[in-house]
Amino acid sequence: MNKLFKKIFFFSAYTYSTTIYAESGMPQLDPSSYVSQTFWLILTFVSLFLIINFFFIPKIEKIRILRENKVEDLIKSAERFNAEAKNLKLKTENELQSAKTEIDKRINNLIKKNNELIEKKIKEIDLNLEKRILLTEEQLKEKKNEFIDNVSKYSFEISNIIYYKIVNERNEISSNEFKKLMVENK
Amino acid sequence: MASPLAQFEISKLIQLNVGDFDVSFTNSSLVMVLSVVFILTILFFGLKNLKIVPSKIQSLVELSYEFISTMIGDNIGKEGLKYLPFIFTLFFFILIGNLIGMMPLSFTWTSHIIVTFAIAFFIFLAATFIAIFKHGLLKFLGFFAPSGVPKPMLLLLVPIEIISYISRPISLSVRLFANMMAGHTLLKVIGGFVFVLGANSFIIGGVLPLAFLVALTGLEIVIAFLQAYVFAILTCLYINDAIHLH
Repeated sequence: MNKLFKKIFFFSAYTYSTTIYAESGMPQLDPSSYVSQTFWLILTFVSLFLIINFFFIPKIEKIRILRENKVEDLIKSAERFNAEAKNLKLKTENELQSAKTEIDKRINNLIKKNNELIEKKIKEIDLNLEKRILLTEEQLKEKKNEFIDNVSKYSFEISNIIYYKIVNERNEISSNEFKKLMVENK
Repeated sequence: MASPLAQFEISKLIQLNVGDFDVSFTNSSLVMVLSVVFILTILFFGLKNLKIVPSKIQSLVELSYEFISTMIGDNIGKEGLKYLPFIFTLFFFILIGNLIGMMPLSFTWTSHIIVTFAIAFFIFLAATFIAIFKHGLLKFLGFFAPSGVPKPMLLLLVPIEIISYISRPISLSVRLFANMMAGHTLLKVIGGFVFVLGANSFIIGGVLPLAFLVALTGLEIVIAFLQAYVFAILTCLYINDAIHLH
C-alpha cells in the first residue's frame, strides 16, 4: 500500500513538474506544428491505408471466400447425404412392405393348406366313425339274433327249473326236443 | 498550478526540414507511427496462418472486418463496399490513436484540431468528388435544393443546405478533437486534485478523486471507441449521400 501511494506521489510529482513550466493556452491553436502534423498524418495514414488495402484486405477476403465455399460444399454434401438417406429409407420401407405382403401371402397359403388338411382329416375320421358305427350295429344285430335264438333254450331251462321246484321231478326232455314239441304244438 | 492543456503540447523529437517546411518528427508523429505499427502487428499476426476455423487473433481481425463491412452495408449498401479499406483504416487508425492516448504519459494525436480537420476535410473533398463524378455537377448542385419544396422556400433552404454541407468537415473534426481534448483535460484536472488533495490531507483526501479518476478513465475508453465509431459512421453517411444524392 505504501508503495502504491509512493508511486502515485511520484507520478503526480512528475506530471506536475513537466507541466508547471508550460505556457498557458491551447497548444492545438499554435500553427507552428501544423505542417509537421499534417505531413506525418498523411504519411502514416496513407502508408497504413496502402498496406491494408493491398496486403491485408485481400487476405481477409480470400479466407472469407474460402470459408464460404467450404461451408457451401459442406451444406451441399450434407444435402446429398440427406437425399441418400431418404432414398435408403424409402427403399427399406418398400422392401419391408413387400416382405410384409410376401409373409401375409405365405401365412394365408399355409392357413388354407392347413384348413384343407384338417377338413380332409375330419372327413376321414367321419368315414371311419360311420364304418365303426355300422360294424357295431351289425354286431349288435348278431348278438340280438343270437339272443333271440337262445331265448327258447333259456326259457326251457327256466321252465324246467320251475317244474322241478313244483313237481320235484326231473324232466327228461332235452331242450331241442322241447323245441320241436313247441313247434309241433303250434 | 500547471495548465491541464500542457499535455497537448507538441515537442520535437527529431528536427526535420523539407524546403522551407518544418516537418519535424514530434511526439504526435511518434504516436501516429506507433498506432500504425500496432494495427499492422495485429493484422500481421491475425492473418499469418489463415485457417478456415480461425484462431483467436484471426477471429479478432475478421470480426473487425465484419464490423466495418456491416457498418458500410447498413449505411451505404453494396456500392459502398469498395470504400471498405478506407473506412477500415480510418476507424482503426482513430480508435488506436484514441486508445494509445489513454495510456499515461503518452500523447493523443486525435486531440489536435489540425489532424482531425485534415482527415475530415479529405473525406469532405472525396465525398464531393465522388458525387460530382457519379452524378455530374448539375445533379450534385440539385442536392442543395430538396425536391417537393415550394420555390420561395428554396431561397431560404438552399443557403441553409450549403452551409450545412460545408460545415460537415468542421463538425466532423471538431467533434473528435473536442471530445478527446475535453476528456483528457478533465482527467488531468481530476488527476491534479488527487495530487493536491492527497498532498494536503496525508493522502486520505486523494482517495475520492482517485476513484473518480478511475471511473472517468473507464468512461474515456468508451468515448475513445465511440468517437472513432461516430467518425467512421459519419464518413459512411457522407459517402452514402455522395453515392445516392437523396
